[in-house]
Amino acid sequence: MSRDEIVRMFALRHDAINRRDLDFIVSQHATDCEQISPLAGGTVKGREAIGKLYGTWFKGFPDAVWAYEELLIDGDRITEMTTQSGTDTGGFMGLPPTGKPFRVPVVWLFTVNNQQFTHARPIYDFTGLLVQIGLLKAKPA
Amino acid sequence: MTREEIVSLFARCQDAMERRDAAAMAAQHAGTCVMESPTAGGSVTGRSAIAQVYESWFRGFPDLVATTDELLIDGDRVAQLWTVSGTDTGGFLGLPPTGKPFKIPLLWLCTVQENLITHSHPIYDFTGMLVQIGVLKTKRV
Repeated sequence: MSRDEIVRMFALRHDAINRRDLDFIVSQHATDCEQISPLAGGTVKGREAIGKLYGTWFKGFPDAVWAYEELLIDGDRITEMTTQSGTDTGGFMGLPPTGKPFRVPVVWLFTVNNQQFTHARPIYDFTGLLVQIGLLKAKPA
Repeated sequence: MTREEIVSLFARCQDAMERRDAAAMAAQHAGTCVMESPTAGGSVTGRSAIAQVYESWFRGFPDLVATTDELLIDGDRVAQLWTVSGTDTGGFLGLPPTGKPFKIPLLWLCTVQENLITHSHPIYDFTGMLVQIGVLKTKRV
């Protein structure tokens, strides 16, 4: 894929995230795409499983905002640097809503082929997020 | 910088990490380099402060192993995926050693100029790492 095609693909992705359009988001992933996700506790495969992860995020944080920095593109591999924020008013991971906000830097590492993501990996302080929204309580041991 | 020069710069970083040499690691950074570091609790500037961040890791985890998985280069911006592991036998962040191990993925985002790193932002599950080594205790609320 050309750089322009990749940039266009991510512009469509960002629009879909803003619209909470799960169908479109997962349609950009290959049917056998693997996503390594702290939220899933490991690797998930396929559009349905990946869609569930986005759904969990948007259900838990209806006001979620993804702020993007410039893409880093090297051939078929891309990093998408984001700052994500939101408030747990919907209940995250099936738990009761805590009403608490969070803000974390999240970096996504993607591989693309033929206009589709074939591998996706978000890396962030997932445990810190759970502490921020009050699902986990942390104290010095 | 050319791609080859950037690859060489990050090979020198990898070598310094393998030798757990904080001074050699800091020498790959510009004198005005800003590092956004959870370990430092925010941003630090300059080689001396950056060396201290690396020193706190090498002192806390004398068996620290950092392996690189991927290097992405886009102009003057670089992303490198690391897997970092070690055992807290030296005491991390000035705390007593816990003797517990950790293993985390870490995505290192950098900007480079004139054979040096001018901006450094490692992203990883810092809170989860503190839980793994037993410095923090968490419980579900």
